[in-house]
Amino acid sequence: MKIVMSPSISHKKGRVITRESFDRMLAELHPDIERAGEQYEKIRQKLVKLFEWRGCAHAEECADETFNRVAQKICEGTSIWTDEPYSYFHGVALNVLREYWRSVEQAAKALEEAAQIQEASVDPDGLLSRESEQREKERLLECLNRCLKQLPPESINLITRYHQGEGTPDKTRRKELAQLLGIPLNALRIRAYRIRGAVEECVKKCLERESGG
Amino acid sequence: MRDEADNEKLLTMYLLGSLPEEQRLQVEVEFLSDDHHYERLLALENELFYDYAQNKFSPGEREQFEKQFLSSELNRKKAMIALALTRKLSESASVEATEKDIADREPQRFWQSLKSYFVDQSAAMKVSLAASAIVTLALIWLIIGVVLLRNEFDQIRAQQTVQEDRLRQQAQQERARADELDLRLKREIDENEMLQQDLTKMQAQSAGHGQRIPSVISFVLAPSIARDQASGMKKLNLSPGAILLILKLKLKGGAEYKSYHATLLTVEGAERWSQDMLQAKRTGSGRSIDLWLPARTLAPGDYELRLKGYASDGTLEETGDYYYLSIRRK
Repeated sequence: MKIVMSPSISHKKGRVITRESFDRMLAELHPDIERAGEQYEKIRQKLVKLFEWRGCAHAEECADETFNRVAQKICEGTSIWTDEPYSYFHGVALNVLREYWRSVEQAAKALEEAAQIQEASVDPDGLLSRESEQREKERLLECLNRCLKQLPPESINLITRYHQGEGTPDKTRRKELAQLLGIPLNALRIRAYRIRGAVEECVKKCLERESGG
Repeated sequence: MRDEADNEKLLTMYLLGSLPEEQRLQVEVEFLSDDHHYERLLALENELFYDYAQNKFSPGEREQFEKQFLSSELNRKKAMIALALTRKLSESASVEATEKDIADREPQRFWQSLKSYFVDQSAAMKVSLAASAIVTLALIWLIIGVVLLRNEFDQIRAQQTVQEDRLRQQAQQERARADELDLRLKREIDENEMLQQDLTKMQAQSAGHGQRIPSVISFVLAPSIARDQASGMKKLNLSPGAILLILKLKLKGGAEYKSYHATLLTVEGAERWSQDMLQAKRTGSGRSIDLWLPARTLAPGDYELRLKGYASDGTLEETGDYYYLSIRRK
């Protein structure tokens, strides 16, 4: 089931972003258009994660809606900037989130009603779905093997030691590894995260290629 | 200010959606304004997928994670990748450990085995080996000591045998001399008895005739300067009734001996009489020795009297004193 953000959220108050309002918002972010673009991307990424971590299933749409509303405010002549632009985006994002949860509740009620109607129905695609999942797992493992071969041995060694270790608590083992590498524990965490992120990205691209996308 | 552990716990709670709203807002303000803080949160979020894949969550945390993250298709795929990767890492870690184990078990050269044998011994075994080495050394030292002692003992025994032989010889010599002395003593005793009988007979005869006949003749002999019969020859006329001849031998002032041995020889060199263990005595004119000879044993003729002295080690030495006399019968 895919819950699509209700278009009424944007249309209800007539918040349709225009090119002009978007440019004005960018100009507010930074006088230099290039730096402004970078700033926009950074804030957007952070807002997407904020919505994700708040349990929003449509984080990107919510982030875009946040930008639309901020841009609309700017067009209306509202002075939104303080020394710290993030706090304003944060406030707007929380309003978007509240509206999202309300829409989710309404959608849930509608789904419950639909479920009662289809109570005794049989899912004929269940078996096919499981077979599809199995094939997907096999492709995933093939892609993972390929991606790991592209990874430098020291990177594999680092994430192996970071995650694997019988009998030793993670904290102790990771602290020892950080001392061995001569870096703070937090830097080790970020280093392991970047390696894993590279593997995940590689696998995702591989799966996309495999599925013909 | 929060410490590292508290901060990590707080951020994990935020990611799992279990943090109170006030603290949640605070975390969001921090990561929105601080890129480093944001990256750290991303890393922690990513790590949650691997903790989930490795089943490191408590049941409550697991439920929160599934509710928070696995509702999206993207995150489910992410969890699948995390699961596949952790299994792969676990397999490679296991293979690595096995390979290391196999490499450690590879056959070693004999000397390496021997070396490791001694290096890897337990403390008790090391003590035992050390004790064995000490005992072996002690045995070698003991054997060498015994051999040296035996050699020394053999040398002492050989010396002792030589000394015993010498003592035996000396004892034999002493015994022979004692036998000789005993024989001489008996002979002298016999002679004395005979002299005594002769003297008694003569005294009885003289008492019957009313005459007095000298039976004891004393004669002083001085040593010759040179061994020459003619120049130093003393003449002695013995009367028929003479029984005993007492020769007083004057000694030169040379070496002194414990005792002396006198021998009376004919000019042809034949021994007529001898006497041992003679003691020198001091007189006003020097030292002298008295020789008591039975007069009847002395036939008329020329004689040489040789004198020898006993040194402190018992050997007889020539004194260098020579006496000559010529016996005549009236």
